[in-house]
Amino acid sequence: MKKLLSFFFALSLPLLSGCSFRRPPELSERLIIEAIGVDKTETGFAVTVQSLNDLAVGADEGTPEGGVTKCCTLYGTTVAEALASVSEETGLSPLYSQARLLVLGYETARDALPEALDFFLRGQNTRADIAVAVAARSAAEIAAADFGKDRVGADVLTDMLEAGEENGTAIGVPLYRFMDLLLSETDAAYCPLLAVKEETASDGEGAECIGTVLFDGTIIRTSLTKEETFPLRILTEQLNGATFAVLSDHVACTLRVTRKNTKIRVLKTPENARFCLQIDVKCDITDLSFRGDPEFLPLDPDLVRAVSDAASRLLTERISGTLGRCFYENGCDVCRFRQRLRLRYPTLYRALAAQGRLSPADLPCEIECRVSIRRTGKEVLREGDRQ
Amino acid sequence: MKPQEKIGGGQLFALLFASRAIGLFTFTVPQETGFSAGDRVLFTVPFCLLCLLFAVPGLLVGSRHENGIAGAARAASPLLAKGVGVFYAAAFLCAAALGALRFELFVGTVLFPESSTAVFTALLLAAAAAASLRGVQALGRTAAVLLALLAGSVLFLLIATFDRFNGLNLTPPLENGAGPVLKNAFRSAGRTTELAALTLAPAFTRGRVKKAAVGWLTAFSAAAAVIFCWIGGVTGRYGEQQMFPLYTLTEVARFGVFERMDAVLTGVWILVAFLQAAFFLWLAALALKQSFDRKMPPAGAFAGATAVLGLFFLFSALADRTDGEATVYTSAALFLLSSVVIPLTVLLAGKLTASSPKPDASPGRG
Repeated sequence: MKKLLSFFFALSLPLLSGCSFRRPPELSERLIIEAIGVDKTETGFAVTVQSLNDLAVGADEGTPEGGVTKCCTLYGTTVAEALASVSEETGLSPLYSQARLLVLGYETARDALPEALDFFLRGQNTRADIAVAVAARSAAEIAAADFGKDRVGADVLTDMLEAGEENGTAIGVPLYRFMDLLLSETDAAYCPLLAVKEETASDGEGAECIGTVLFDGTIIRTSLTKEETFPLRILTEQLNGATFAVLSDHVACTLRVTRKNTKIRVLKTPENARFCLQIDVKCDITDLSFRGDPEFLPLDPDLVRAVSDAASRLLTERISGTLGRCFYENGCDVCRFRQRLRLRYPTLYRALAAQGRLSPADLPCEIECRVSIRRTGKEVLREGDRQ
Repeated sequence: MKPQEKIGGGQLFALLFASRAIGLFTFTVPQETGFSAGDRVLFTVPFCLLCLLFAVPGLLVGSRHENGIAGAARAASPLLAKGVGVFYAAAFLCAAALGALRFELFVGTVLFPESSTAVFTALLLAAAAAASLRGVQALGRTAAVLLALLAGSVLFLLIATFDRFNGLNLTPPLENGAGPVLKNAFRSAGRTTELAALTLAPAFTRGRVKKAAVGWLTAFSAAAAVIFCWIGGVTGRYGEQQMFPLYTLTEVARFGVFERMDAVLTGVWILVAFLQAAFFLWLAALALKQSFDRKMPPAGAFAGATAVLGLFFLFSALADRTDGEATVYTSAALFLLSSVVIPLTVLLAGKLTASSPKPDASPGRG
């Protein structure tokens, strides 16, 4: 009996592969989607799908004419309807779980964000950690951007965003985080802004990250440049590392951030709340020179202190500027001040919310930024080396 | 008749924990608003207290007789014992069907959205029936191993999402009052059919049932609090919009070169669903065996599995027609009857029988 049962269950195992008597599609019958671009049209949505070109992948005789990816644009009154027609258009069964990038056209993000994203919030097709970005113009041109025949555009773009994050010039956001911020009553969402490179660019066509888009609720408020994104990463407590130059009258110094600690304290006052943003940044000196001095420099404690002070001033200025631009000018609560107040002093938060006193003007913030130099670099910088 | 094989208190703990874990993995945020992330963490406290409270009748009736509720009912009335046995067998089969239905929803939505999952469910139940034939000791050992696997996988998931956890994604508890917390605590307690197993537990447990039950409920509630806190801290409001927030957490988990751990973790969860079905099938057989004093033939387990499959289709159709309400009410009714009403009735019947004057063997003598 036991042997019979074992035989029966062993026999039934192959059925589990699809749990259906319908034949599951082979890999060659799959449309492996890498990137999705969503643009609003007059009648609905145009969805551009970048997928792997199965004829090219694994080809022995080099890359065929079409390249490793191919693109098609689908139309429908909703995003779901447009994507539902992908099989009819391509004759292949779509596989969304490999998709790495979701791009929204600028007009779509500005005018129809909930409509464009609802499919991705509700559906189980795409993964929760797919990267989200807004295109400076249309999403189609980003999804179809040419990075060369043997390169997958979605991979290049997501790798570029990751590199930008390491360098402090981009702020990549996965879908689940972006949606969380969009759905929040208190916080502001943000995501990278992508643009097609100018035709004159030396490394040919393609696309690049040119900054960050900021939302208040589901409305685009403003966008920041790559330079302004660096302080935004500090404000959102996401700075992993960055390189920035400190220029004074006599010294030019490049610092590499190795560690940072951001503390945002909520201070309760009798009738309101204020915030104190304390940032402690540790840096390495990666290069240093006196302007106009042809020789290597001695690095004495006074100079280190002067560089630290100059860097502290610079960062305080840049952080204040970005915070002012985001929160006090455009109402985008990127520091999550209101949420911090809500968690720390819920009663005060409710009272202030009831009185309508949670506007940026009612929530002042002080910034204290301290830069300390952890390592001074190479031996040539030691004072004694000059003799 | 061969004496009933028994497991230790630790294995009972593992069986109960692993069986209930499927409810945690397929947890869905209720549709009505107001049950925020902070509330979901806090609700585990009243949930634990309610379960402990509802466990009291079962543990009381169990402590009165070494064969649990079946023995206590038989002491009161053989007819009552038969009725209790049939009811508990039916209740465990229904619980297995409801568990399978919940798991089918998960499989059909997340794992194989484009395929029919009926074959999958049928195979799962057939395998569970075969496993239930191996007896409670085999189930207990499997549960112990599975619990270790489960704890390891959840711990790995927490580590893999540690850098994505942000306490700011949580919300203050009780923002909308205590109503949503208490309502959901009652609702979740009403799904804890494993409490009914405590009424039968003395019949198959060597160790201290009370200790295992209290340990299980406390540890389960603590684990649930940690998991809910983690779901809220990592996925925030996005997780609330997802059908299975814990699965969403597995999707975003990343640890070094390890990515996309959802496939591995769902593998462990399938084992949990299998164990729950096997445990309930075995409990149904035990309830009948104890009440009718007859050993269940091997075909009985497969008949039970077939009945579960039938109930699964019935509940599935009812859930479709009533927007899921039928299964909620069925589950709550089964829970109340099996964990509270019947144990109390048996206790009362036992008291009445004990206090009533015993009929004299020879009435004419006095």
